[in-house]
Amino acid sequence: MSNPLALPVDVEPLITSLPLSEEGLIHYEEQFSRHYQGWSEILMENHERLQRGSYSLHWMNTDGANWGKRAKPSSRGLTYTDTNRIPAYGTLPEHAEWRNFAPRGSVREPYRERMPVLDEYVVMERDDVWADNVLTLYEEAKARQWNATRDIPWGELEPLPEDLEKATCQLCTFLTEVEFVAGDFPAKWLYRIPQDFLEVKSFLATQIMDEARHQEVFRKRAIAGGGLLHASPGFEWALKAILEAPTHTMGTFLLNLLGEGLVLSIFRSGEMIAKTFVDKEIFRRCLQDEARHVSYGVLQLKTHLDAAPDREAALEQMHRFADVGEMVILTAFTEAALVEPVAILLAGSLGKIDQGMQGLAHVWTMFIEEYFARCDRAGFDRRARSRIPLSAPWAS
Amino acid sequence: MSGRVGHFYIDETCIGCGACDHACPGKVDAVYEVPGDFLGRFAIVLEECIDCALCVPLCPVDCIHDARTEGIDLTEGAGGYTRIKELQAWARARDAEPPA
Repeated sequence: MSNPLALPVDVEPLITSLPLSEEGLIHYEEQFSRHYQGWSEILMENHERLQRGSYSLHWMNTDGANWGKRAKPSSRGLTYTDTNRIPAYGTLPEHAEWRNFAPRGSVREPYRERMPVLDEYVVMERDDVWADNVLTLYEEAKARQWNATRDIPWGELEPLPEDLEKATCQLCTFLTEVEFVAGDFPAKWLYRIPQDFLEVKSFLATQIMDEARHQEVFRKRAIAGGGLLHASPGFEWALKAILEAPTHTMGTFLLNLLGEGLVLSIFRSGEMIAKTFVDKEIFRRCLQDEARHVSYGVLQLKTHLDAAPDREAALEQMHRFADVGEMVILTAFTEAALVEPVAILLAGSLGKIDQGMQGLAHVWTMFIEEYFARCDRAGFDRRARSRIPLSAPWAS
Repeated sequence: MSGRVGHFYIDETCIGCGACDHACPGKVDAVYEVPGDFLGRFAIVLEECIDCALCVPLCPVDCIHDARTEGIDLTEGAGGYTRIKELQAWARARDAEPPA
């Protein structure tokens, strides 16, 4: 085929002062100039048509489209629930076939053979990502966004005695550390979920935004009060276990249902832990965000298990994963860099840390019971199999 | 006003995710966040609820009930999300202690 645009098929290396990865750039050039030719054929066709002064107007043909099936807004506005009432737009495939960006409900079939394939889209089963509450959680998430710069009354932050300030700042350091993975995990999978599951991708985008705000607010709280204190290897192993979970459902279980569940338990205890009005306000706002993530995780696991062709096998697989995951998460929950500052905050001073450990024992039981309740709701009974002690190791 | 009331209620184990809020049909809008509740829990206005039950399956903690079939129990037993009451009781005892 001729090359009327003199396309740069043999691209010369770019001259640049930017520290680009030379190897990566060469690979990119080779892919799009030598191996992938679909785009260049389309470009040449377009160029020839434009040179002829001819119009296509094929996009006005509504054969195969759902033209004229108009979505009607509800009193809340126009939600995904409203647009999804039109079956052509709202029916999610059980198995996604389109590994590109062609929108669900658009005219795409005639172009199937000419579309590129994105190898990164690998989560092709609806039930590995879907949760029945994802549409309403997405609406809730959008309605409740807040701004860690403006919506926290930073000017009213009261000075605390040094022991309480250090404990608060250490807790905030822990929370900053864990919120990083809570954003990275959905980001990792967002990129692997095809566009046909756009509602889930939309919700995960809000989760990423929520977690960005959480790490922001805890970082700011620490730096405004005294400073960031100690990162912790025990936290890091728990976070690594989440990020490297082998499937989306498994990782969502470990992050949203267990890990964020632990953080939710801490936030729910915020009234007793926080020592200033500002800290209570931070916990209260983060609690609402965290509850959405936990909520998605519970019903995602339920969807996955309910849809499994062999439920017993799916349960056993999840149990094997949870056997390891729970222990790794427990590593974080037993770290001195978490346990001790929370105990001091509960008690009200370093001198009363023993009393605080009694209060923390209640948080432990609360966390474990809440976790088991979430598992029950998903149809995943962990009570008999879990090795996490119901009572805190220091409580007799 | 017909005087009719709905029968669905949210017990105290609500975690405040709000999935039910947006499940409620927009014109009904019977679900609301309890003002001033630190835990961010939701409740249902019985006078506005139309008993459609759309919210029920979306709850991650099974805290929405139909009083006609399940009776009314706002406390929902002693397990799971009610454990926070033990911590709250401990904190009340802590606060009641005279200063050293």
